[in-house]
Amino acid sequence: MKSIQMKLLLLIFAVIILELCFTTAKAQQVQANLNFTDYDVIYLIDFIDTKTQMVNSSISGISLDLTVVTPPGGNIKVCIYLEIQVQLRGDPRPAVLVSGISKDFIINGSRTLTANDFAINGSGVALLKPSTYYMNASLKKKITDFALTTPTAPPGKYQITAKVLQANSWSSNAVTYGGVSKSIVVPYATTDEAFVEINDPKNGSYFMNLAPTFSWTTNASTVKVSVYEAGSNQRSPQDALKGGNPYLVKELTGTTSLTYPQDASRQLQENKAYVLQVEAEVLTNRGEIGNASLPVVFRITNDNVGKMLDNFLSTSAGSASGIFSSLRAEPSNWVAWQAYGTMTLDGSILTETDLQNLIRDLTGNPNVNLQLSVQNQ
Amino acid sequence: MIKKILIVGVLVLLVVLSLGQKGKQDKKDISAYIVKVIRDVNMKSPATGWHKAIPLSTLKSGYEVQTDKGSLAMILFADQSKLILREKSIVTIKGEVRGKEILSRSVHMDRGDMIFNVKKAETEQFRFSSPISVASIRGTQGGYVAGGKADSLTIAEGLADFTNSLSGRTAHVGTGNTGVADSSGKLNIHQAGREALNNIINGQNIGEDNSKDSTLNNYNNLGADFGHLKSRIAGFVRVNLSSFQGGAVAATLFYRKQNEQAFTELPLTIIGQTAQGQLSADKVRYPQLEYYLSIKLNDGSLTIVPPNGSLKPATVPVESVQHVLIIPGQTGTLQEKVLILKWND
Repeated sequence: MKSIQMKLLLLIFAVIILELCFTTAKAQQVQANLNFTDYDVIYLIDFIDTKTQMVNSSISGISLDLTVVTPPGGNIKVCIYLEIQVQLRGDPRPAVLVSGISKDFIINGSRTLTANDFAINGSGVALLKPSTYYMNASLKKKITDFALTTPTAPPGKYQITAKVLQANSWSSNAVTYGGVSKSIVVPYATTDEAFVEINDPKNGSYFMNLAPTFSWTTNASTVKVSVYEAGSNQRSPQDALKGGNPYLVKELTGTTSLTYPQDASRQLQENKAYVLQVEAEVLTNRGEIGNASLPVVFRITNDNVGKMLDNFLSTSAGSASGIFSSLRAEPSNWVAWQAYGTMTLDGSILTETDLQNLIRDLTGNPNVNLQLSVQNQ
Repeated sequence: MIKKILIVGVLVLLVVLSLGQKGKQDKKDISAYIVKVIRDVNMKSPATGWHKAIPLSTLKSGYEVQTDKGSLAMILFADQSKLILREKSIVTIKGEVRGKEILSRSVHMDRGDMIFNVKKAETEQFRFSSPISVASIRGTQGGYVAGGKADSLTIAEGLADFTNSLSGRTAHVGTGNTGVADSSGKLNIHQAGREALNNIINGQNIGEDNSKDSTLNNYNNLGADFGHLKSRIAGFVRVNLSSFQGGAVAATLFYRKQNEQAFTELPLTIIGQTAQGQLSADKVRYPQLEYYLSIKLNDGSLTIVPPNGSLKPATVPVESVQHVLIIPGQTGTLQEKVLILKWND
């Protein structure tokens, strides 16, 4: 009986001691914040030291901010459990690529760890202890093999978890003062994978209204829509994009269409030509790269002259009809353009009304033999 | 009392004299115009010798007109009465007008052959005469042949009084009949031959149905010089008014392109003896320009050349030229491509 009482007493002490222990641990809290940009493309070579096959000490843009919140501003000796899970595109589930527990270090109120602190050739403050280090060899090989063809990280979901552990811990299940986990999705293996194609307008098309709607297809979440005026001295869309007047530059996220907005820096004008380009914006750890669509020319015109000629020449005999319809159809999409000069008949300036009268005359003479040619200027 | 009667008498006399004076002032020689000339036609005035007649030559009282072999002249009066002198004819025009009223009008033909279309007047009768006969006509179409031993008067439409001047015999010649007066003093009326009537009817159309008469189409013969007209290029016209001897006060050209309904009216600018104006390029079209002239004279009369020109206009050839329509344009890739359309009228 005495023995039973002793056992109960020992159990109560043990519980009390354990409770005291936990109470001590819970009393210390560290807020962790992981800074990591949501890159669309990651150049792996910038993250891994090729000699050591370990984390590069000079990675920028990644840091772990640690702040002691309980007791506020207190000094705590801790270690960090770090884990990186990867689910490559096509993999059914995520897998741990690497994990480990760092050496102990002290947080004096707050501390920011950078890649340099984790790198073997860096300060080594939070270097992972080899005895706790785990590397998924098959997953590493998969990534390494990928890196042989392209210097970037394979697309997929990457999750980084950092736990602030009681010093001298040897397991991730040790007493935890705080932690943070962050996922980023790398959508592209290379910047080229981000694409954008303009659906409307078609190249060379024309509008009679001053607020046309553009639409495009893209796999990028953010695009930049640019409209430039093409002056008469610019003879290619590229010229216009380099030297034309910008009318609209707008960054859009989560949409694939835009009606020319009222708040554009300039409003579209009649009888002018414009070049539209849409860029898929790709964020990499080397900066932002824009993958541009092919430029598309569109014109704002009522195309009266073209329509008159369409009607007239479509019924005329001979080769003129075929030549003109080819000129008007894609890809040429020819329109009469006064910016290049006025219409003339036998050297005299011709108005649209004059042309209409002329066409009426010619229509009344079915025997007239029309010869149509096109000259490049 | 005597004084009053004397004063009234003097006033009445003055009024009568002034009216008489006014009447004398208004009376003028009749005018006519040679509106068509084929081959050799000559004319002379009482004061001048024979010279070539040209279209729009003015004829006054006492003027003579002569046609040579194979020639023809059309004479037009202000009331649109028309005489067509056939070959080997010689006539003298006489007459007087007061304002627009024709007081007298006669054509004396020593020899020759003419067709006439005389407009009906209220009082005045048109007289044709020869050494043998006199025909008084009003609103009549017909033919008159004089010379040799007999004259003939054939009436295609209307009625005429025909007199043998040698015997004084007179007879009415009605539609479809021919009167013959000979040097023996006889005057016979008989039914006109079909050929004679056809000649008169067809002869009326000379100058109207002129499509096969290249001479009539020649603008030079009508006194209008268009130069060398080219299709769709503005042209210029000059009309020689010298034959009106300063009597033309206004001239208007009515012109149109072929197959067009309406004429474009172009008031011409008269400078000296020439009327001129610029033709719109829009109306100058291959193959020809159609036109007629309207000339207003200082006696208020209007002369249309050619007669009935609004229905049967004169023509002048227009040269076909190649036209080039140039339309600058832009392709969908901002390339400048110029469309060139060429055609011949």
